[in-house]
Amino acid sequence: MLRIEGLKASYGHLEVLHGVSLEVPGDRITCLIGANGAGKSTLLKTISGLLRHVQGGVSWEDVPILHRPAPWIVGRGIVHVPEGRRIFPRMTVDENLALGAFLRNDADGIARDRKRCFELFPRLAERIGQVAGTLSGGEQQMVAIARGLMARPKLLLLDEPSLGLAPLLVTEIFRTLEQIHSEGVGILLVEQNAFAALSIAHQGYVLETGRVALGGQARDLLADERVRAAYLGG
Amino acid sequence: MLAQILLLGVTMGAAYALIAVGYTMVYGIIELINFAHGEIYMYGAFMCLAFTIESTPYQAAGAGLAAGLIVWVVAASLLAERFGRGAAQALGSLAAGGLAGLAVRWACLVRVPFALSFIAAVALASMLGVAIEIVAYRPLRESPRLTALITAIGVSLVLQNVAQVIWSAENHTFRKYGAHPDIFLRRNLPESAPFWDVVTQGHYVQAGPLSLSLLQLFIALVAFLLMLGLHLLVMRTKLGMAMRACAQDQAAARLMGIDVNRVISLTFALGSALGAVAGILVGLYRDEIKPTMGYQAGVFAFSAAVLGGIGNIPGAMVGGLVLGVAQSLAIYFDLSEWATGVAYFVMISVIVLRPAGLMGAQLPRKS
Repeated sequence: MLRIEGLKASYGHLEVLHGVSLEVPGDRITCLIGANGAGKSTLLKTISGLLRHVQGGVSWEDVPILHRPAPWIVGRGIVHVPEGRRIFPRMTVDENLALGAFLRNDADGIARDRKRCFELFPRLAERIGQVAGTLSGGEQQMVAIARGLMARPKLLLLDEPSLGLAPLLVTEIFRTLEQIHSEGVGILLVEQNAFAALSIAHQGYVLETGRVALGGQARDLLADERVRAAYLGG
Repeated sequence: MLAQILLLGVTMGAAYALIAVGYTMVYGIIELINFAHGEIYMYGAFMCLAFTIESTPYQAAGAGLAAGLIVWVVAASLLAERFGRGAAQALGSLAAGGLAGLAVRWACLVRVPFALSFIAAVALASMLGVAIEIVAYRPLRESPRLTALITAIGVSLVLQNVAQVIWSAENHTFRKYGAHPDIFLRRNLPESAPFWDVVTQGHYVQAGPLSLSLLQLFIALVAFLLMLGLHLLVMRTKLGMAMRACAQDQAAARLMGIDVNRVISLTFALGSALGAVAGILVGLYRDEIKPTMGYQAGVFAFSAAVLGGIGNIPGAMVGGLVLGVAQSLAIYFDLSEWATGVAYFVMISVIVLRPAGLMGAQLPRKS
């Protein structure tokens, strides 16, 4: 369970999160929806230790993790697949995956997970030696997710995995996320594509200008008037 | 004659390449032109000389003080990273710096064998590189590039002047103090001497019309082996992979669990060590060691790094060789006072035709 209490975060003097509290169970899919600039990505960056100007409480499995360095947090099983994929463009697909497993030393386990990634994303198996910067957007997103899985996450933070992808690919990626979850990985999914996200999630939160506006079961949110009006196009 | 001069160019080019690699590694990872790199090269040469000869008490005290400061900074940072900040850590790093300073002072006062001096000087210069990054560049990591660049020039000037205070501006040579390692002194050997004799006691190799001094051979060999080692390290090891990852996207590297600060420190350590090796080798070869030697060699090696494509390690190696050869050709065509100008001309021509450098990536820039 990831517990966030009264979390504030700012860039310089600009406060972006004004006291966010929410809970993300480690065995479910939680989605976080909201408009551009609501603070969704900032929240993920705070959890994964990329931001410095933060205060409040964040704990994972009852251990406080706020103000810990990013590599330490990866070591505790929280892995962030950032917005815009952020793969290493001048390295091959295989090297990107190897970097995902940077903190691990179990060669057998790494080899097994690598094989599993190629089962989840068969397309990557064909591109194994290709320089990642030359892949298509969808393939790069697959590399980003597979690279995250190579760290053996307990909780995967995904930032806009559907951004800029063709609808067919979005469906494919979301189906893969459900599969990853069924193998025991918790997921915190940030999405603009609220409908797709709420369809696979168990629970969700709506973030509005740095505050949690609404939270609950995903099917309740899907039925909620306000959510339908603001994020699901009526 | 031409072949002979080309051989000279390759030797100097190998040394330039060793320095250029340091510029390019640092630029690749933090996009900073480390102008103080030339001073690390100079410091390596001076420390090796100081260990090899019996320095004056004044020089020994100065060198000890400088070395103590360097070790103190590095130890303080290492201890803080591993155990956090505290009184014990502060005392520990002060003790480490003090002991190192005393040891260096002592080593300067006595004659230390050349090989040992070489290793100690390279280690110290490598730590100097790390210390510069910690003190001067790390606090500026988030500031505009120009701030860091100007700081780098400042660090370079400070180090040059500190060296001048300790060792004076005059020219020092290994030979002047009778400290040139015997094995490298030119002495005629009969042409029929077996190769092994040439390598172990003799002093230059004669191959037909070409003669190659043992020192030239040594420089080329050391430079080649070190660059091969560096290439393997960067391409084949986990540290190398982390370095490349940091060069491409630092935030993403942190999300992989990579400790970016440590990788940057290690990059400085490696680049500085290679620069110091070059400083010692060129110091022996040209037989001149002075506080401004780093500036001259640095500007030249930096051009080599740009020529090869800044940020690209094999490019720096090729760039160094091209400039070395260009310089030697200038000498061949009796333009020796133009040697530096010719080298720059080659660099400018290449950059005009291929702005990314000989081996620079033609990929779009990272966002």
